[in-house]
Amino acid sequence: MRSGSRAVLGLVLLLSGLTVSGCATKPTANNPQEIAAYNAANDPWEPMNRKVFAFDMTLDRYVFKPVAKGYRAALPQPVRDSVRGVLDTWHAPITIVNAILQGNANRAFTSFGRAAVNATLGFGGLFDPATDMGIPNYQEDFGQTLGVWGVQEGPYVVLPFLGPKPPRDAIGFPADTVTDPSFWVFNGFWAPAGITVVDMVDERSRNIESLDEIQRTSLDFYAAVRSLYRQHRAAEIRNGATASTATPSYSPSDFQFDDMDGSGSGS
Amino acid sequence: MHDRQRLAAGIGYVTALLSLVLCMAPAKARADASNVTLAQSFVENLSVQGIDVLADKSLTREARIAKFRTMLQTDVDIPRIARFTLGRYWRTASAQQREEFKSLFQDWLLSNYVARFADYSGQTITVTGGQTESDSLVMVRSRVNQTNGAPPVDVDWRIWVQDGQGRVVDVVVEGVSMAITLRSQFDSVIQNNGGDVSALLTRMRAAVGPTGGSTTATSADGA
Repeated sequence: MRSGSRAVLGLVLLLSGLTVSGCATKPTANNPQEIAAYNAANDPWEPMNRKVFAFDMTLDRYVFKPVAKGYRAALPQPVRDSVRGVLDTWHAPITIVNAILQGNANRAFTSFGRAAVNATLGFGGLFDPATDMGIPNYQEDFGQTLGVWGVQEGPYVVLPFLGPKPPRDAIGFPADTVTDPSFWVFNGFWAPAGITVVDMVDERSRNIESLDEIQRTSLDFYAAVRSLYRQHRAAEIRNGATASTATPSYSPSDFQFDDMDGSGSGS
Repeated sequence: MHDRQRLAAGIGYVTALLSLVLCMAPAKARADASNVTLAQSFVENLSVQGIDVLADKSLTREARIAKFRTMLQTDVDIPRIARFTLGRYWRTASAQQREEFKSLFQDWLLSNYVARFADYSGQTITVTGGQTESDSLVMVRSRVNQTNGAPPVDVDWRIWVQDGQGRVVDVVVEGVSMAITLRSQFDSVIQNNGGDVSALLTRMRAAVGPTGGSTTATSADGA
């Protein structure tokens, strides 16, 4: 577990997983509850996904998390906030374009205003006068836009290096990359790649405790992340409004039990 | 004469039925509204109580855990959450496994969240609304205001209301439900062990530790 060759092992497992392409055992046709649970999990490639997830977590443990910790230790909070502010200002067109595509004029205007204020008064995002003025910071991406358009998320997929990327978000990812102005402004490979790496490290440095917490409190880390990812994306797509009572994975009657509540109206 | 009596009785019957139906609809609406009001004030009271316990620096760690254990038992519907989270496997579990799961589940919750007590730094909770999800279930919306300049966090509470008493059955942070996340994990653990509920119990026992829920989570305080 702790040897340096773990990453190599992970890669081997990953490749063997890709070629063998193990599938989760399908439930027997005569058990409706089992089928419902299988469909709710919607993870037909679970064995392979688990291998890729293990690979990603190993990479995180030995590379991303230590780098993120070093970054957080080396730079004081205001400097890191400036880094985030500049990145957010650069990325603003992604949110603006997707808010328009979602038909959300309010968020498009707000995000445009925020970027305009921070790009000028905030010296390109080094400072954040927009927040002081009470302008909220929205994040929209093409995966969310597809969700608003009614595209289903698809089966769960974990990609190497990128983490959970079910088809809807896997399609959204390259679309956002070309909506990002830095893709067009900086030529070649290294400048955009460098920006992406800084973005990932800064993002990771903001989630060190929360990810540790999820890992510490979970009995099945993979299943926890799968559930959290999906619920979080669903909340982002509906822009934070309270979940409608029935979703594929939840119905209010799930809390009703006949033997607890007498002969109630529950299932 | 006889016919007229029958007609009168018929009209009387129809009128009674109609008034019953007409009265029942507003009565149901009133019940829904009062459930929402009850659930909202329940969450308000609970958050005041919880913050009092967290903010009281004179309490020892053990006293604080004891107070939370009491709150967990009276204000959180542990048996209902336990059944929800075990999902489809409740039916296949034996009576003994069900009982052990319920008791382990409570210890496990405490041991998981006791460690977070040290994180409290003056956050406040404002109840912002509520809506019914079913006859007995109310979703109460609230906003947790942070003290460190971070944006506020939306927290929804699913409250089970029965006999004029509210109990927490789910906490939804920024759209992420704790009960649903737990259910999918438990389901995954059991399913990956060939549908054996005891595999989950073994894993929970190991997570809670030999001494029970109150003393396990000592290491994760602070950074």
